[in-house]
Amino acid sequence: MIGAATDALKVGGWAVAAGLLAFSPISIFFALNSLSFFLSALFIGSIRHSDGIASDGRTPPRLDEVFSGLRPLSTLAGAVVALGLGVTISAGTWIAAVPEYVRAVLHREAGGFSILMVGYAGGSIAVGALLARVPVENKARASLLAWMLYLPAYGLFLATSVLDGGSRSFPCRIRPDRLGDSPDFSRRKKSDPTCWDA
Amino acid sequence: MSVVSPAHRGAHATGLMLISPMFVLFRPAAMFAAAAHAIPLVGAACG
Repeated sequence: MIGAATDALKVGGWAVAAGLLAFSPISIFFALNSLSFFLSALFIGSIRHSDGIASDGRTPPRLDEVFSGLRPLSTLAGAVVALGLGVTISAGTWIAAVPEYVRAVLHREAGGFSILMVGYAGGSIAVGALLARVPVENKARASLLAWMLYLPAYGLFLATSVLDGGSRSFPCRIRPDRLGDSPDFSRRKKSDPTCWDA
Repeated sequence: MSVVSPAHRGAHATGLMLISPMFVLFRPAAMFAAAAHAIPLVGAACG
């Protein structure tokens, strides 16, 4: 729910970003973005410090105590490890491949990426709302199963990029000659033969 | 939450540092294909 709530706030930001990019140059966009970080720092700086003492008078838990507490809960510990590895792979792939996908396959630029991210956040909010209403018996195990959804999800990115067939960089690099040539591939290959040399 | 949030943020940063540079070496489609298989395998292996 916390993740979904964060994403709900992000949706507004991405929608505003897409709107800004529609009519303002990217230099103005980055200037406004840096200003927003400055304002965030000001707000965070104004938060009153508690000197490490929790509101009920106890010291807050240390990180190593958290890991010690997780040790007997093997499924939960496994879910945390899977979270770490899964997010490492998915975030590293997403941040480089999806902007390239938007540019080369969808033929859109930064505004298109922002709109795509609104869809991503919308999915997160919908699943968060669903999970708030549907009880899950073993949440740790369910979270492990949820990672399986990346196979069809990233598989769809891959499939649509292959079906697109001729954009410069994305399918170019797939080497369609190895996937089976199509009339569309042949036509584009004739129009830009260097495309397939990578 | 005290471990999930740092794990998520740390993994995100690690992904940007370790996985994203691999796009210099591998094609985006190959990276999508590899991630599509690797992430479910991680879920299965940790279960």
